[in-house]
Amino acid sequence: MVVYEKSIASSFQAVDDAVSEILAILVAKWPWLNKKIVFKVNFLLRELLNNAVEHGNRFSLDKKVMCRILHDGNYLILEVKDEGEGIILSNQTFDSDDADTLLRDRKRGFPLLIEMAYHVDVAGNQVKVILDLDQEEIEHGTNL
Amino acid sequence: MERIFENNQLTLIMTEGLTANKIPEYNQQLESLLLEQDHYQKCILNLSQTNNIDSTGVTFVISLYKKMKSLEKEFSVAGASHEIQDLFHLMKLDQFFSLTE
Repeated sequence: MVVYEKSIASSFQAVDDAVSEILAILVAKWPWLNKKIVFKVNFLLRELLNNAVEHGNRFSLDKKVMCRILHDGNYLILEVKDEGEGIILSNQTFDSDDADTLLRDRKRGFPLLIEMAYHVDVAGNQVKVILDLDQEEIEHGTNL
Repeated sequence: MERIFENNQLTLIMTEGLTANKIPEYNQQLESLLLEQDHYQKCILNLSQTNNIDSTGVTFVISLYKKMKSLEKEFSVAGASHEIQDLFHLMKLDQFFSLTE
């Protein structure tokens, strides 16, 4: 079931507006969604959309970012597609204890996606992030 | 972002999200704070009014920590939700500055 599907302008402000709208839709649809899951969806969506706007479309006003949210069984699926040439993802994780690595200025978003999501699938200029709501329920006590 | 100078302490209260659309504005405000460094010895970033954050916002917090460290000021984060605390813990940032609810 498609919960949300829209194209978004290539700006950080448009991302902020879209994420606020999406969260309002999700909370209205499932008022019992707990705070931790809402926080996670909020964070993941912002990462996906900001990356698409900045690195995919390079803030071009002529280009849009397509965002689609689906609910399928116990999964919430976040799909984001830009008009760029595809992304190069950093594989840096938070395993290091080196201060310079942990306090680096950039390349923090994708490792966080990997840490927070059940599954991340990257294909060219499209990223799909899957949240396992069963697992979230076990960890945080909620139900959809 | 509200600023309160009190008892040799600067408190920055984030009244809006720590998100990419807001960070350029916050960075501009920080520039003036660096000029006022004689007015405080400790900087507290208060996040009690927002739960909106993205990785650009995390970078802003790290940047603020680094600036305060370079000025030999104390730095801590207060009022952070459990979710933000979990996020910072995941990134092992809690070893660099204290983080309280």
